[in-house]
Amino acid sequence: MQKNNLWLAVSLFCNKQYWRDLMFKGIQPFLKTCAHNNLLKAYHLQFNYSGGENIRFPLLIAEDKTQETAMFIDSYFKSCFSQAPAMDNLMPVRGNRIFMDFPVNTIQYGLYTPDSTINLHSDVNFRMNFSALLMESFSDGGIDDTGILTLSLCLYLTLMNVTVQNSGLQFDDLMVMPFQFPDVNEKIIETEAFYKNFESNKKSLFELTHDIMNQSELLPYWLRKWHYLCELKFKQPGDGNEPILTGDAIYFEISHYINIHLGLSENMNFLLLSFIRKMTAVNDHEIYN
Amino acid sequence: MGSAKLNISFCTVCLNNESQLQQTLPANLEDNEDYDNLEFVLVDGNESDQLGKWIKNNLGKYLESGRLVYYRLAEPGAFHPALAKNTSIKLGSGEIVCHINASEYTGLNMAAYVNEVFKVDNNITLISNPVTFHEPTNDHPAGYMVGKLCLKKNAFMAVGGYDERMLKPGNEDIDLLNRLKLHGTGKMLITNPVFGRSLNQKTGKGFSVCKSLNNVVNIYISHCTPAISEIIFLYKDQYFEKGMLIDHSRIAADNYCSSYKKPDFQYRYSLREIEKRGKWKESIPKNVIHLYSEPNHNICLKSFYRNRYDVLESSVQGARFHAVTNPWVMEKLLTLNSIYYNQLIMEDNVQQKRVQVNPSGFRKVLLTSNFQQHSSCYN
Repeated sequence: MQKNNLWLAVSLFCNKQYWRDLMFKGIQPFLKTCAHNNLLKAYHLQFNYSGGENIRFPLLIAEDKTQETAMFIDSYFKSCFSQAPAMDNLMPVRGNRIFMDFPVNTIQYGLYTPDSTINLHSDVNFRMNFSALLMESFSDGGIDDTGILTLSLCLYLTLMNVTVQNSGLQFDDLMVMPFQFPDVNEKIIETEAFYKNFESNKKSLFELTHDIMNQSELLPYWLRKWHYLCELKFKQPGDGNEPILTGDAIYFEISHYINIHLGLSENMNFLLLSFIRKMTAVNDHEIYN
Repeated sequence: MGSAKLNISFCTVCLNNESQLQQTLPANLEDNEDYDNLEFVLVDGNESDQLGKWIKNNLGKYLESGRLVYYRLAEPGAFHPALAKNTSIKLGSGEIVCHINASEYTGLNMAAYVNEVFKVDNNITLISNPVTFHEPTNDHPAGYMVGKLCLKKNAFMAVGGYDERMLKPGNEDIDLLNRLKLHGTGKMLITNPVFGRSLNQKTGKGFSVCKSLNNVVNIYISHCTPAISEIIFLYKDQYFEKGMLIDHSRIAADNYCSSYKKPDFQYRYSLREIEKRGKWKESIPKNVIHLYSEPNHNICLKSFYRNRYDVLESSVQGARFHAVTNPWVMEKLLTLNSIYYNQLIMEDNVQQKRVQVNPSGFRKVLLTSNFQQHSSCYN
């Protein structure tokens, strides 16, 4: 896959409230144009906050078309951002930031090295499908922290369900693994908002968990697709050249992708897993029919 | 070459590393008892009262015999590593002087080994393997230190000793070796493991940053571009440092070629112009901070009005510096400062092909010798 191909490290900076617009008015039409001209081999989408709110958009292209493709991308997104609503693009200056953020509505390059794991054919495809699904999941609403956390919850619960169904692991095994950090209890105590959030959303969260665990027909299409993608990862562990992973390794790999693509910070990840643990601890017998 | 044993001085400085010295020094004295023409010079940076008492109580016999000479800095806080090492080596009376770090064990009969080596070739610097004081990362280069370094005192003095512009720990030994090479002095590595033992030297990193954290009054940042920030460090001793921090991964981020070209930098960060150092003073109640240039501190480089949000506003260029309050950010900035401060001076010495430093001689410091309160000596 990597032979004669090359990854471009592209970052699109704009306020999170406009990420949805960027995806549907900028990225999606761009992908269609590229598909039409056969410009792209693969792409990924990753929410990111380094240097300001941005969407990382690594693109796999043919090496012999590097310059012309890079120029095309540059002019496309510059034109796209020029049509964005005018706004103050100066970020508030904060002393605890070592560097100022990049201006909003700009395209920047080379700020990261595309993950080395994406050399593997199956990973590239999995993450590309995941990126497409990510866009689809936000087709109905704007993007904010609560939306990202809820999406992460759905993705994690589905992944856990698939892992339990396709490996010798139990739900408890998956819950234990992320909670081996020594300071985890202190963090729970300190996160007062966590309890408040949990109590106020307990009913709907429990219903959501119940639906996911029982693969309800009511689940949105993209989530059922995610279930399928995860299942595929367990059932078709790559081509013949790739190492065969154990169940827990596959689980960790996919959960790593969730964290990377949704830009989950350590705190957000912790909050999310705390939700899941709380729900499963309280209603363990009720989760499955 | 005669057969008489060379006069050797093992010189050690103690800058807040008493616990290490209390382990190594007694062992080093015992391990070299068979070599007559040897003295141990210990310079105490006076960071606490404990070391002097401990020396008196535990190593009195060596003081009485003259085997150990103990010097103590009269005023605490006046030492930095380069100055402290110069002081101890200058006080050594041997024709061969060895800087032995407080964390280093000499090993059995190291003095005899040094004698043998220098009898064969005295135009060398005999060193232990440099160790990383600051681990290198993708972000910044390593800071190195050499635990044991032996050479002819004449050669040491000819190159002006350690560069006293290097006010922070790390790389001062490497800079000395660079200049000794230009002077024509070769280098030889101590390969015998008997002479290679040491305590964990990486504690030095924590010490340097912790010391800076304790000494810092405030750190201020002015964001120039997404890739460049100007930093001001204000210290309790009224010194300030100012420099430009550069994130090389961001410098050309607006150029689409950066999306596919390999980075042309070795380390992500660099700190430039950190040598802009002088004294600072705050006018109260006006809340105006003045930065004065070295050496006489009589030229005011810049003045800032400190507003109620702890933001420094320059009256001249309109630059605004925001106070850093996050301990993680402070530590990161102090670490980079510590690494790049000496690194820049070392690079400058290399570029200028500078052999001799400290053209006016070593800085003079007031010391007491062997607990004689009233007979102070100037180094």
